[in-house]
This record gives sequence, C-alpha cells and structure tokens, in this order.
Amino acid sequence: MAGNKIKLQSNDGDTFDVDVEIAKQSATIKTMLEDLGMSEEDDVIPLPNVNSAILKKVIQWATHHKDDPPPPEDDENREKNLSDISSWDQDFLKVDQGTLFELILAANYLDIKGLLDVTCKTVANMIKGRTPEEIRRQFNIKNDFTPQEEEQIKKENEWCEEK
Amino acid sequence: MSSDSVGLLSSPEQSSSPSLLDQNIDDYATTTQIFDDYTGLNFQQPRSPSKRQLTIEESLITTNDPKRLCNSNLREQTDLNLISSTSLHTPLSSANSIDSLSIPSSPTTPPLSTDVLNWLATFLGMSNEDRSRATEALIRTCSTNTLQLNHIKNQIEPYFQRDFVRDLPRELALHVLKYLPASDVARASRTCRAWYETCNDILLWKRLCQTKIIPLKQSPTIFDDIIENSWKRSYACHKHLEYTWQHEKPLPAPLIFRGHEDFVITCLQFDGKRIVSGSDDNSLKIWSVATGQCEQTLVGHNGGVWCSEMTDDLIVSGSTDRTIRVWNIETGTCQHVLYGHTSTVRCLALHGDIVVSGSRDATVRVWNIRTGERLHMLSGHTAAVRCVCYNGKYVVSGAYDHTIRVWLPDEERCVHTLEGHTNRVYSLVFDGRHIVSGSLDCMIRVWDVEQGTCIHQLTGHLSLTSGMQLRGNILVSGNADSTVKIWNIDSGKCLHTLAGRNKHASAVTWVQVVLNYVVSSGDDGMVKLWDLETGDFIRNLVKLESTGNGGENCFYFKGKERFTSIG
Repeated sequence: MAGNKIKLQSNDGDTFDVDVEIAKQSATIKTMLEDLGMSEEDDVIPLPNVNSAILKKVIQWATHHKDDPPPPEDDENREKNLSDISSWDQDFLKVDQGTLFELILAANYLDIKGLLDVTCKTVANMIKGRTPEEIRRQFNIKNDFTPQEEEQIKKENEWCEEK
Repeated sequence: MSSDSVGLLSSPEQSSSPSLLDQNIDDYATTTQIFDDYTGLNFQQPRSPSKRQLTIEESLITTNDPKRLCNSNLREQTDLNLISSTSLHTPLSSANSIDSLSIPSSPTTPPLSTDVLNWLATFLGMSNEDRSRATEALIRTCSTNTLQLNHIKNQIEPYFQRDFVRDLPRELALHVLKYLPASDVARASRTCRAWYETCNDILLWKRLCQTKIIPLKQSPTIFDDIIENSWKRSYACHKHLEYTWQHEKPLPAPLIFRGHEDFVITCLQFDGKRIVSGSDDNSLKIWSVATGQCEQTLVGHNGGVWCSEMTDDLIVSGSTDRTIRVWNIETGTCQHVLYGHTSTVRCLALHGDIVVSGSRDATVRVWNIRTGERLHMLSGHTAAVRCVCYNGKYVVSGAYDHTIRVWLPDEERCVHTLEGHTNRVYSLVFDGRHIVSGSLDCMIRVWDVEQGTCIHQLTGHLSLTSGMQLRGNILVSGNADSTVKIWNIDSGKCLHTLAGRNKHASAVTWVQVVLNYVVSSGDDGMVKLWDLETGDFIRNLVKLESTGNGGENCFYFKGKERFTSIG
C-alpha cells in the first residue's frame, strides 16, 4: 500500500524510515518482507552488512529511482554500453573510491541490480582507455611482476594495441 | 569521517563533490579519527572506546602503507570509516623502533629527526579538536607552497584509493570487468598479478568472444605458446587477423602449388593443415599447407574428378567415371570404390559417415564411407542432379529439371518437390530450416523445408548464382553478373550489393563469410575482401593473372590461410 513505511537499521545502529515501495527495490529486503509477511509499523529490518553512511546513500539512490522501470535482463551476448549513466547518477557517484567500493558491496548484499550495475560501470569507466601504469596510479596498485613476467605478459597482450 | 575532514584533506574539486562524507551525520566519526588512522591508533578503536596512548614509534609504524588498508573486509566494518584497517597490530618491541620508523611505502626515507618526533609527540598529546585545528593550520601554512601542498595531497590520496579488482569478491570484480571491451581487459591484465588472474577469467573471455561471434579456435594458432586462456587466444587470433586484413600491409606472397598442369582444378578441400585438389586429369592431390609440397597423388579414377569431400582421415571423390572413391588421407590408398551411378557423379554432401551423391543419371544415392555400403537410392528428378545438401535428417537436391527435392533418405521418400525456378538449379544452401537455391533463371529462392513452400524470391541478380553462404538470416550470394549481394532471408530484402568501381571484372565464382567479412573470388583472378555489415569494399587479397577460360575457381579460408584455385 502506498505510504507504508518500514524501518531499516544499519549495522552501527541508526534506523531509517523508508517507503516500502522504495525499499523493495532491494530484492533482499523484498524477500525479507515477503517471508516475514508485511511487517508492522514498528518492525525494524536489520541490515548487518551496511553501515549508516552507505545505507543513507543507498536510500538516496533508491528514492531517486523509485519510478524506474525494472532493469532489463542482462543480455550476455551483447556488448555493454559504458556511457549510458544518467547525469544524476554520475553526480551521485562522484565519491571517493572507498565509498564507491562500499556501495558496490551494499548493492550486491541488498541485491539492487540498478545500483550494482551503475556502480560497477563507474569503476569500469575508471579503467577504460588507461595504460597499465595509469591504472596503477588510479587505484594505487603496486606492479608486482618480475621483469621477465612483465615481458611475457606484455607479449600476451600486444595484439590488443593493434588498431 | 566528517565533512570538514574532507575539506581539509582534499583539493577544492574533491571537497565540492557530494560524497557520503558531506552527508555523514554520524557524530562519532570525527576528524580526529582520520588522524588516529593515519597515525595508527585506529586498530583499537572499534573495540575500546577509551584509547590507550601509543608511543610515537608504535603509532607511526602501525600503518602507513595504504595497501594494508585495502585488506579490510568492508562488510565487517563496524564504523563508516573509509580508511580504517582491521589488521591486528602487535606492538613492536623497542629493538626495531627507530629503523622501522621509516614509512614502509617509501623505504628510502631517512629516519625522522628528533625535531619531527617531538613535534609529533606534541600533536598526539592534543585533544581531537586541537589536532583538527593544528592540521588545518599546517595546511594553510603550506598553502603558499605548491610543492608542499602537492606533497600533502600525494600522501593523502592513496588512503582514498581502492583496488577494486583485487579486493572485491571475484564475481563482483568480474561484474566490473564485464563492462569493458576486450582491449581494455587485456591491457588491465598487465597491471599486477591479482589483476592478471582476474582479467584472464575464462568465462569473461568466452563472453567477449560471444559478443563478437568469435568461435573457440581448436586448430593451432600463432598465439599457442603465448596465451593460455583458449577463449582469449581465439579473440586475439580474430583481432590479429582483422588487423592484418584491414591494413594495406602487403600480404605475404602466395604459396604456389604447381600440379595438375594444363588441366582444370575442379574442387578444393581444406582442413587447416592440408589442401585436397581434384582435377579433370583424373587425380586428386594432397598438399601440405606448411611446405607447399604435394604429399600424395590419388590415382584410380578413370575420368575427371568433379567433386570431393574430406573428413579427418578420409577423402571422398566423385568422378565422370560414375564412381565414388574413398581414400585414406595418410596413406593415399583407395579404401572403397562405390559403384551404382550410371553417369557422372557431380556433387557430394557429407554428414558423419554418410555421403550423399548427386549424379547426371538424375538420381541421388546414399552411402556409408566406412563400410562402403550402398544405403539408399532416391529417384524422382528428371534431369541431372547438380547440387545436394544433407543435415542428417533431410537430403535436399537441386537439379537441371528446375526443381528442388526434399527427401527423407531412410524412407527413400521424396517429401517435397519445390517448384518455381524456371531454369536449372545450380546451387543450394540448407540450414535445417531454410533451403536457399540459386538458378540459371537469375533468381534465388528461399524455401521452408518443413512446409515445402517458397518464402521469398530474391530478385536483383542478372545471371547465375554460383556460390552462396548463409549465416543466421544473412545470405551472401556470388553471381556471374560480377556482383555479390547480401540479403536478409527473413525479410527477403537485399541489404547490400558489393559492386562499384572495385567490383570483380567478371563472374564471381565463390563467396565465403569469414568473421565479419565477405571474401569473394572471381574469374578475373581476384580475391576481394568486403565488410559484411556495411557492404564496403576493403581490399584485394589476391591478384592473379586472369585465366579467362571460365574454369571454376574455388577457395577456402581458415584462420590466416587462404587458398585459391585457378582452373
């Protein structure tokens, strides 16, 4: 029913009142609600894998996307489009890498496909078009190959530079 | 972390971004915590609210390597601190105190001077609020010096970075990589060992191949010793071949196989290692692709060889001497002679151990090539059978009586006679559902094998369709009018005509679809490459002296190799 609210509780104890319809974008919460039967006003759904700050972001995202049509099924055989991130989502995801990392984990745990896709796409965009050295700088990664390994792996991937 | 900590730490554009930090209202995460984290106090924070005072040495040693921060499992974090490390800290003994004060991530840094240590001690002795103010003041003091400011930025930045591919659960890391094109995945695999491992995931590459309709390559390739992942190897071969074809680099000089002198080569088979050529000099020859040497000459037919098929170990040939012969590919010995046809054997279709033959005697016969057994005879055509297909269920035959017949060979029953062409039927393709036929009446017809009805009549060619290939619903036809056409057989529409100033100078004798290209050969001695999607001419692959005698050209492509026969 419209206007129904539930309480979501983060792992650090904060609770958030959220419209049921918004919360149900999370397949995890949807299943919980359906398994429990529709809960009373004061029932609290604990989310032990999500902290308060991330939960707040997730709710913000879900609220903005509450009227979205359900995301289409993945077509495994189609090339993915990296550039179709809405400008709202782009702004929303202008966060530090740690936050983005946690959002991916939260979207996965809560099973919110749209959020998982858009966060993963954002990371993919951070990799796309970059050289190995640029990727290392981007994510603060140490090159742990031996010179021999590096030579071998360079050879293995030379074909991709043929334009 | 709170908003002021971000403002304090970051360059202006970062602080303006709507990160969670700005919205964080949790009051226990304060600026102080950041400094605790940087200085190593964080490890104990979730557990004991009342902090133990660490020695300076301890606090400096604990964590200054951003790498370690990434190891924490975020799902288990109990606070929203982005940079906290859950790694356990063992207080260091005093023995390694001063040497280990150097920051682990930059081992060349000299030990801290007494001044700095004293200054840090003062800092650590401050209240949280004072630490915030002290840091702000420090940064403000440095703000006139770009070098120092950059240094601060470079020191801080790693703490906000994450190694997504290494630290996310593998299925999520792969979900990220799924969005990247193959070249980016390949490049990313060079980052470090962990990335190499994930970026070479077999299913990831399988999917990348599938989006480009690249099949798994079973045959040997130039990448065999270099790329272990078989799907990645298939992708690399495809890319490399495309590159070689598309660039106007001179192609390697063709290997010329001399044989059947003064006679016409009538048919070619190719399996990646060997080429088998049939000729009207009554023989077949087996050639090694690697050396260009003729390995075997198959002698036995008493008339010209007009058709052949090959399996892994056998060659089947049909001749004007009315027989079909089965040859051992290794030894070159004839294993069976199949008698029965009363005129030239003009076409063959192989499926497993069963070969179907069409003859000028107007019959179609079915044989077992292992045992040499005659299995079935299909009669009904009233003129020479010119082309035949077999998919294990239906035999489809096209004949000079203008009809196509669909047979159930086991029952020796003709289930459909497809009438509509007004001249001889010369070519057929059959995908199990659709039959496509090319005729001397200039038409191509698409038929439904179950219903026995004509679905479309493809009009536009001006002469005989000599060769066709079907991929999905896309048909490519080569025609004696010197053009190639690309059709959609569902709609019956012609999508492209491969013509223009680069077209063949005379009849197109054969077409083949390779990757996303059409390769056509012509009586003009040319082999041309076209784009299947756009119909654009790309380049000439082979240019030979025209023979102009109307002989049949045929060629096969497999991987990098291509073979042309000039009759």
